Amino acid sequence: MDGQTSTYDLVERFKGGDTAAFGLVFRKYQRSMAVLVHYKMSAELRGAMEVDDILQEVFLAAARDMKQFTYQSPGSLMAWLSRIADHVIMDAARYLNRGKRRAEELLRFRSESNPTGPEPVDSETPSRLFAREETVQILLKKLDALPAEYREVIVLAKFEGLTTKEISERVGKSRESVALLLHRGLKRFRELEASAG
Amino acid sequence: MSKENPRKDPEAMAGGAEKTSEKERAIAEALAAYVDRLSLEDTVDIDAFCKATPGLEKELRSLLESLNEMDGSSPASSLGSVR
Repeated sequence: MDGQTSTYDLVERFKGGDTAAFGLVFRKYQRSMAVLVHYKMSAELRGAMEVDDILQEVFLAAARDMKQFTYQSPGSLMAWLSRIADHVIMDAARYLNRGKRRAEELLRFRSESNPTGPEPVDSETPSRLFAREETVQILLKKLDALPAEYREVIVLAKFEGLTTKEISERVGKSRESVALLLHRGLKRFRELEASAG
Repeated sequence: MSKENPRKDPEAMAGGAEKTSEKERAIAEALAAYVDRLSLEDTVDIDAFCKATPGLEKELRSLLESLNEMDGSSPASSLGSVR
């Protein structure tokens, strides 16, 4: 199938030295990762550093460690990126809690909050994209307005790319309950869209 | 002991504390099937997918379009893909 082939091909191309392929990986996953990272971060951490900064770290780590990644099935790259995000967020929280390191020191790429950092390989850094992409912010507002249980299954299905069986195992509910929550969550989301005009 | 207010608890609602119609179950199942295909990085033709669920086409289509719009894609897009 196309999606599987393209993700697999991009990974293999990048491993083979085609650095442009990583830019395509980034473009393909950055929006989903932005939403995922937003919800993985605690409110406290979001108050201390931006989602963009975590995203940059995640993609930097992914580019650095891609040779260790093995494409196993559709969704495996997203699952790997999600695990990297977990580690980056844990590290960031640890640094902030210990007060041993300023959050800005975690940055590698040049950005508005880190003007002296090195220029990124791709001119469209996560920071620039996330900051200027109003649609992500609008989407997050709508997702935030949903009951937590609805939001959780939508985020897991749409942005983490899990199957309903995997979501069922993750949240400890039956697959049928997950399907109904997804249905009701999307209905509510639809209503929010309608009321927003 | 039952929950105080099952209407406020989506799990209880989804689990049957609120009566779930057959229609809702059918739409939820179709939606789950769609999401499962997306998780395989499959590109799904929404038109064809909805036509395969006669009687639910209109409601299902609106939900799938909402899901697609989360990608920042056009509401008119009839091809669904995860990420």
